[in-house]
Amino acid sequence: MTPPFDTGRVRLRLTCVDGKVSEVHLVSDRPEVVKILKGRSAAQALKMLPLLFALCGKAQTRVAELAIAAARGKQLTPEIDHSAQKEALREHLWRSLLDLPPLLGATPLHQEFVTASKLVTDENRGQLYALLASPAIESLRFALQQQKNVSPNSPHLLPLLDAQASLNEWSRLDAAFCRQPEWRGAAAETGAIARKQVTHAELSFFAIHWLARFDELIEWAKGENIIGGIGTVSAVTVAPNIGRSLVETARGLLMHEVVLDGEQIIDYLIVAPTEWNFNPQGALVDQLIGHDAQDRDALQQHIAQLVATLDPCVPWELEWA
Amino acid sequence: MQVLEVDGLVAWCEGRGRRERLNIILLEDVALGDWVYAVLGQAREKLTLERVTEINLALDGLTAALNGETNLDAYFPNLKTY
Repeated sequence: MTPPFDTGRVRLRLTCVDGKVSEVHLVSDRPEVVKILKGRSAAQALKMLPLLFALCGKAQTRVAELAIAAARGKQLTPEIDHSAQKEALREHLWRSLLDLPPLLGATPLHQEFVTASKLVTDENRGQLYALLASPAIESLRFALQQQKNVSPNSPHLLPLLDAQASLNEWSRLDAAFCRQPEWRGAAAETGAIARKQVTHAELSFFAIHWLARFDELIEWAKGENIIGGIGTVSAVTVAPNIGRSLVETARGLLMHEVVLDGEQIIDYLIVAPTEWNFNPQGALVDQLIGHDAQDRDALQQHIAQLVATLDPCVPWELEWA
Repeated sequence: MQVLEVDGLVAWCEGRGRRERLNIILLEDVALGDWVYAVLGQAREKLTLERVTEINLALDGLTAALNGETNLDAYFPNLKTY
């Protein structure tokens, strides 16, 4: 039997004082896949990545191609990559039709999910639009729209960035940034909510995230292809032999940066959405500090809702300090 | 992971030292003995045995790299020509 492989996980440790959450220690602990790419040829790296990334595999492979091309001088102005876009839309469908309903006390919409996934694959936008307007799905959106905001914190969102614009924010990436990325010195969220720049003060944190996913599905179903929206890719030559590429995945902004010496990879950096959205000073911590902790079961359920809302690409676990 | 038992939309699967109940809704016609790529409790795609071998070797190679091993050629036998 092959040995276990640890995909890593998001770990939360909560401290509660006087019946309230007083401290949240949050760590996103994932294997540094890039270690295997250093020293390989660019062509080898492009063969290895699909073996190592089952989630967002198309997006990961596409941005790797673009980063390598950019290191060789071939840049790309923002455009939609339809393969990465469909992959991301199917992720949204999984979250919205299978994971969300139980969080609202409903049953998962299995048949709708299967049908909708096929409609995305077949690019049958009209029928998807009709399906998204069906009573079962519309009732989910209605339930979300009833969830009023009770938090004083508004989301701090990453702005829309393409590869060229990202150079103004980060002239180079490094390993520390990959582990804990920040925008202008602070944690920032990425994903549908950031692409839509949603800051409705009247709806709950939970609701605005899930509604933003629905909005992206509906926009695509209506025939829109928004540059900067889901599935957008871009690439820039950072310096000779250094390329950077960006893609907007379901979970948010994914960045690759590669340093080449001829055909050989000297350095490779990946900044994934989970590291943005599970920043130790980020939204999850903001939502939890000061939260009532007298009923641990209720708090644990609330945390599970928040984590599902921010949608890590690895499992998560909770520890009580 | 390899499918051990199918029960409607879920299947018990085993691989890489663990046994897990996976949601198989994304896949059509899952049968005992099939190999699937598992992520976050979901069977994402069906795999051929050849692909399973490639992925297992790649994950072993990544583990070796994380443990400081530098000669990884044995883990990627199909990449030598690239």
